[in-house]
Amino acid sequence: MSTPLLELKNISKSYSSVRVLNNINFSVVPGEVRALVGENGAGKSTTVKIIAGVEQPDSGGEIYYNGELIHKMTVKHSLELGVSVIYQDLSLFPNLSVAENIVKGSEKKFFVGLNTYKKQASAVLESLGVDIDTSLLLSELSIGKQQLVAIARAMYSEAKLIIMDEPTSTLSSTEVELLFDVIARLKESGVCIIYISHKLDEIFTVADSITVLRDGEHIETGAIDTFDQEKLIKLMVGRELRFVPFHGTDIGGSGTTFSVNNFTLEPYFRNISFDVREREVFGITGLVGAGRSELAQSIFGIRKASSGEIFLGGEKISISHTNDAIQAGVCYLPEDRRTQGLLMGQTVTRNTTSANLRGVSNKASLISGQKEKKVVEEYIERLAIKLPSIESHIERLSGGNQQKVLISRWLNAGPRVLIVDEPTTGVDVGTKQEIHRLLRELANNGVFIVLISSDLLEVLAVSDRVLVMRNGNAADLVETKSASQESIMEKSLLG
Amino acid sequence: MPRLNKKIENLGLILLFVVLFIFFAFSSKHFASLTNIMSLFAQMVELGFLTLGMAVSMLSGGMDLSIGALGSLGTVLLAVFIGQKGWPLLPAILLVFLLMLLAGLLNGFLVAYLKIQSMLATLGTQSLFTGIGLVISKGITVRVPEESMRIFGRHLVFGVIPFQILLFIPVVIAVGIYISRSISGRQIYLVGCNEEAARFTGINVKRTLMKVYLLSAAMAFFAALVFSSRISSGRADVLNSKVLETVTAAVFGGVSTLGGVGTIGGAVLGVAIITIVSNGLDMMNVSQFLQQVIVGSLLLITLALRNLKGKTSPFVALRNKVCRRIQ
Amino acid sequence: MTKLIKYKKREMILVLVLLLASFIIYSISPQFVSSVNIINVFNNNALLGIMSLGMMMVIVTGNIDVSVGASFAVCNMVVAAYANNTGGKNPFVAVLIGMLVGAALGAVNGIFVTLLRIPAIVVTLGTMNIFRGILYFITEGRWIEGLTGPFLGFANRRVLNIPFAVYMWIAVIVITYILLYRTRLGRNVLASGGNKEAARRAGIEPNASTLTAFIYLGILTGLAASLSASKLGIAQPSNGLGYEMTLIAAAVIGGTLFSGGTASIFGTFLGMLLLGIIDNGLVLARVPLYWQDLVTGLIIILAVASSAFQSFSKVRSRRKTIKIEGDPACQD
Repeated sequence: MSTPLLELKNISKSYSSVRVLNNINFSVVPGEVRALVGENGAGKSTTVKIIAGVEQPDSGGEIYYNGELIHKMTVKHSLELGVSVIYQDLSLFPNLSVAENIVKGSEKKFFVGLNTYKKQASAVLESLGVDIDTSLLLSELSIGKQQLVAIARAMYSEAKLIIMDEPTSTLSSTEVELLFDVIARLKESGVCIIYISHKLDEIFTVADSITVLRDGEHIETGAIDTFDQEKLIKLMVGRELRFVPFHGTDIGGSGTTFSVNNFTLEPYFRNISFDVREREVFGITGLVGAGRSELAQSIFGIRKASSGEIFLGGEKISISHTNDAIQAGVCYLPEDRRTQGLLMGQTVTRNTTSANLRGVSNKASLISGQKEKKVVEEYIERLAIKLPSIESHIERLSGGNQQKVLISRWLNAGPRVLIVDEPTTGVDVGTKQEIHRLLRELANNGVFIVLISSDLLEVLAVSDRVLVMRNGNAADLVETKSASQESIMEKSLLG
Repeated sequence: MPRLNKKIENLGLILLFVVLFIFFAFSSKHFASLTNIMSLFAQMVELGFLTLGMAVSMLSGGMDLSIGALGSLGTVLLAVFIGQKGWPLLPAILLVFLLMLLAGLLNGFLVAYLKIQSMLATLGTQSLFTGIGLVISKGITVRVPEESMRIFGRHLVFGVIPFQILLFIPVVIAVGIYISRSISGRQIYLVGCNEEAARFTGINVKRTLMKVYLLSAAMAFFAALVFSSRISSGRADVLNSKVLETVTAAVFGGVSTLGGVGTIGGAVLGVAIITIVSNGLDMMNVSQFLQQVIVGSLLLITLALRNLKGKTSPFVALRNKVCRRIQ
Repeated sequence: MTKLIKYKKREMILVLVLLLASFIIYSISPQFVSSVNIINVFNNNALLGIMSLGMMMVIVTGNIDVSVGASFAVCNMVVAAYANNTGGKNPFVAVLIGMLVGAALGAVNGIFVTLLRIPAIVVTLGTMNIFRGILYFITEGRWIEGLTGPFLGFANRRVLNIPFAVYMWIAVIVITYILLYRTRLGRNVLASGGNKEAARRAGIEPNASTLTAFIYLGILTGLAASLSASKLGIAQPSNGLGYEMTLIAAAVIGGTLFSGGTASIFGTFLGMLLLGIIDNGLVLARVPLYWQDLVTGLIIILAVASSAFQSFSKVRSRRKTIKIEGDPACQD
């Protein structure tokens, strides 16, 4: 066994109060292709960022490179060591030429020889077997071609360790073949590759070994032949049932529904229809990029769907702005809490009442401090929100309590439909349970609940039926009572 | 807690005002005279109106840099209509008010609908408004001989209280209530804090921004009214240099340059302090230019201290801002 | 040819607008097309033209500098004072001093922007007043006149009937081109303007790019201020008032986007020329001076609006093509 090229020892990482990585240990050797797998939020991206020096691990963790302890991994240092990352968002420069994108970060000389760059870049692209004019601007290329440029860039830097984060998500099948060829060649020349993908068939084609992460923990590492698809899926989703199920009873009672008909917005999703029945929690799941959030945001009036209708209790409602949605009683708890939900720097009170200011105003249409206080205190009690004071700034609360404040915001708006998008990411387990119970309680009280989540356990535990989306299409509609994590995962991966 | 903090901060500003007042009273014997105090308040009014508009635009996450030029344009319009053309006072004033609201509408349109960064849009309209003023006034100072115009800037009620103070106080109260208590006022804060999150909570961001720039135009109008009356004339760039002072006053009073944080009361206190400093320095015969340096340094130092303390967490706010612009 | 139209669309349109404007002015006042007048237009706008390239650089990094007029006045006075004291013996040293002072002022702006993370427009609004205030305080508003020696008028000296200042403008265009397109420094400025996060991930420090751009603008401001002192033989503390808007306008008309990352040297040159021609046309057509602000203001707003509109749609399409993962840590 040769010395490991890279070794991670006890790597942990926390963002404010949320721990996203917990004591990660694994190592890779030159010439190895290691697949790094796990569900969304398992900690793959954070691991990559730590190796690349973009993020610093919490103290106590150690990174060894070629057997040497690296005291502080910075981006520069990591590049010098020969680590190259192909990020999922590509991290390229849309305003620069293809040639420059390929050489950027590896240039040695002060003066730039654009023609030399062009030649060198063309040579790399040629060895990749693709034909791209290197003088084009990157933004003129299709996203698939941009992906190839990102790969060419890693090759150009003569990296010893290349990390590929979902490199095939935008590639055509011939391009994928091409990539696999390249990987084989790199491997032969002793380059180590860490390969992150959701696509299991690819992993079994290309990888030598697999490391599975789950909820920021290292679960298992082993040679490829010690795994099969079934085992891998099981390891990814975990065996134990972590949530108490909250399934509905008397679903469909009076027969009123919230219906979405033929919603389409290219390129995100097309022809999506579903009905939410009374007393039902309706789940929507799928991988990142399946179009779930875009669908929800179109219903809520953030994006404009190119076609589709919404019916609430048999009446057609039209929504062109979020304000219309709220007037009609359609509310949306966004996935991206930090930029779309929380009003940072504002008090808990203001965060709670923002969606229904009229409700806390007096007859003269002036906001009444007393009314506001009463409303907020009511929700703090009802949702057991822990906070220093209702005048605290929202950022001082923990993730779970922030989320509860955002839920209060919608409860205060008097929702008839509540769409919650990944309501329990970055939230501790206890609060997750509370949120699940609350969603069920609301459903029982006649609010139509749509739960968007990629946490399959959550979907199975809370929702009654679940719509599986894949690449913007409705892949399947499943009764959760008769479904398993594995079957849903299979549907969202393979269709 | 933060509310308490804010109270303490405002209390601190009041205290600072008192200390400065005592300091200047001892350094110059004219300072504490009734005439000077009244003229101090009177001076406050023009800067005060402009700062109200600036503060509101800053709360909404922008900065209306055209407010000085718009005020100047207002003085020109008033001078031309009343002084040159001899129109009756009331309709002339009303017409000017409407024209200035129209200018505010233009600012709002550029910022809210064309999504141009507020500061750039208003930097552009600043040239435009000054240009219009120059064309209308043919580049010269236009006199207003009209006696009745005197009331807004040169009339003493009961022989002591400058009229403009009686005009200023109700406007401050109205704007204060509008910003702190009304629904639209609250929405201005939330838009200033994070446009995207504001949209996700059902706020019509465009309409809110339109209101902001209309309001700042209205404030520019009041400043123009008082100023043109006080100096009995109008000139196309007469208030342009006040912009920095308004920003400084607002920042000094606790209004964040990143939006969503600050109060009208704080901004007015900021105005009071800036005015007393410049009045006191005038009394001490400190040159106008050194005062300019002091005001500019005050702005940067206040901001630097605030940012270093991480009070408004500039990083988070900045990032939100970037995200917001990308939408 | 198709490539030219595709990549230089904005520039091609500008050339057309320039020709159209020239034609209109010519039809009103035929003396517009005379070698004397044309050289005049170039000569009158050379200094602003030099500075506009620095402004373009600052805008590329996603920042802006409104203190540039005040910096100009400071450099102008310092250079004039030096030339006055030494009898204008050493124009070369005078220019060097101007550029050093400019670089220092630019560095002040750059440091405030990067270290304190205050928006550039607020920082430069403050420094604008500080620079000019100090200048007025020290000079008490007095002019420096009667410059003599070789310093006086070297910027006006003509070779092949073209003034030195115009040669300098051309030189700065070439230098800016080399800096921006042929050095790693310049490429890093462009890269961090285009995608800050990607730059950081490629080991480029975006703050260094920002600082570089502010200092470069400072150096060019110093150069222009020295040339101005030489041309006019006098310097006054009120010089440079309102330059910032003209410079921003030139860069923006030329196709520089406020979102950063896009620069056009040729476009900025054309933008400056357009503003110069219109000014010249107004003079030739005997339009009163006070119309100029209105016309320039209108052009600026149109340019800003179209630039903002462009960067707006550009960011949008960029969003569409590059999907961002739902990892909460990488989304904000």
